[in-house]
Amino acid sequence: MIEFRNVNFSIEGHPIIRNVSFAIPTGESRIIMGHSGSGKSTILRLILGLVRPESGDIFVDEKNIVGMKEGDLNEIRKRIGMVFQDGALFDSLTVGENVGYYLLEHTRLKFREIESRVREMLGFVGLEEQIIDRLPDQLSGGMQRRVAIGRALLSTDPRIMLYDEPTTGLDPEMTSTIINLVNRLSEVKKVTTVVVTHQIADAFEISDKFIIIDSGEVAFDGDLATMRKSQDPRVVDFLRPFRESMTNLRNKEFV
Amino acid sequence: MKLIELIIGWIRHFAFESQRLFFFSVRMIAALFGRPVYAAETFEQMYLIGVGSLFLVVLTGISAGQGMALQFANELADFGSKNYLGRIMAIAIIRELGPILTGVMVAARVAAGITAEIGAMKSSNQIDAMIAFGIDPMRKLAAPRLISLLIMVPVLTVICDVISLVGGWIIAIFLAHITSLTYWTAVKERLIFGNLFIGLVKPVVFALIIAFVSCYKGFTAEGGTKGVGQATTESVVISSIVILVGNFVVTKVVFSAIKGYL
Repeated sequence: MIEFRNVNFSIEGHPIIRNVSFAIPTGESRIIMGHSGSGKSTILRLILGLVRPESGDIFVDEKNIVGMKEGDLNEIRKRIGMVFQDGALFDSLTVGENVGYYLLEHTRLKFREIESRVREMLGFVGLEEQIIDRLPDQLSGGMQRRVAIGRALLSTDPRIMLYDEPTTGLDPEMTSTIINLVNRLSEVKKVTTVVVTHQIADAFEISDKFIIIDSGEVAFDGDLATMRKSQDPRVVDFLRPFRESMTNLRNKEFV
Repeated sequence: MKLIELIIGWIRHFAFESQRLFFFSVRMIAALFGRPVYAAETFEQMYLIGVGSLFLVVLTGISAGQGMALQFANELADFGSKNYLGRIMAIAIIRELGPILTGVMVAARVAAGITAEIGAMKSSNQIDAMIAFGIDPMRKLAAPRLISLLIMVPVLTVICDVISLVGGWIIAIFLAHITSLTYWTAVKERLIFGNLFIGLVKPVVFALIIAFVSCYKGFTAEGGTKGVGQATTESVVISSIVILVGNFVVTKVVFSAIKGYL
């Protein structure tokens, strides 16, 4: 369960998040959409406690993390897997060291045991074991994203998965692979999933429940059917390019 | 009017940055205590800072030592006091030149590296990823660099002192025509507690300056690659200036404290 209650956050006096409230029940998936710079990624950073709100409450698994000490916050973070935009892999470490990072840092498992788990995880995210000794720079964008998902999964055995723009910049084939992986994780591991994206077409494939953020405020929180009917100008404005592209697609003749 | 506003704005910015740097430094020192201790990272940094800077320090040390010896030998010859060359070299190098040269060289080489590395990690969300995995970046990144600098800058300073004195010795025997015995006996006479104390306090202070400034600039770097580049330049400039100003302050304070030992 993730819940925001009247959360406000600003940077150097500029409001980024304004009076945001929503709730995501345990095991559900939610897509957070919005234009670039609308404050979507900040919501994920607030859930992880990477930044602290000025006011309001944030509940993660029924615990209010606002004002929580860093040590207690780390316990909460152990239940959260985060896939950062562009992966945020440690570029001086190999793929194997990245995926096994948490185990190397926080456990006393033998190296062989960690290596075996890393190989297993690489298989789970659809990567070949041979890349284990490669550096992140030597991988494609899609592979980096999958390594990041593997790292998040192996590190914490999470109950909550957060994805920040997981498909941005990827080709359609790799996008489909990542979406399948996100969906498989939600189904198999029954994790609460929050995906931040501005790719509407991708969002529809992951969940049918959406939050639209506009200028730091929640413009919409509900399911696909309600969103389609919404007359809120902010929602209409956000969906317009997608609707237009779909209409163009329908009108196009394929020879 | 605009000039006054500009100056006030600059003073305000300076005061704000100084305050942030101070609190950051306190957090860095606090990160030295408690667990986990990142020994592997610390040894890696010691190697990078120590071995990596060795060639630079040796090269500048020997050149500076020779240059100084040449100047002093000419001046002392006018007074028929060439035999004192070793004494003057020992005082000048151990108290001033060795620590300053090493401090500035390490600042130029290491501060830039630290700021660029941490800044790049920050701009690519690697530091956030670290926090997300329950790892304190101050303990993981800043503390090993601080410890390494506190150990390696004094070690490099001693090496620089020795190399500079050897540079002076080469000039002494080949150009000033002083015997080795005369030169090294004169050097030995000035290897007293007071001089050695000043010579070892300074590199510790310089190490703190380099560590605080470079890590602070790295952790607060913003604005992508351009911002990291700017932070790196600022890190080297600020470290070098603070080392030069700090050198005067340390000299004054330590001189007053140990006057009787000099």
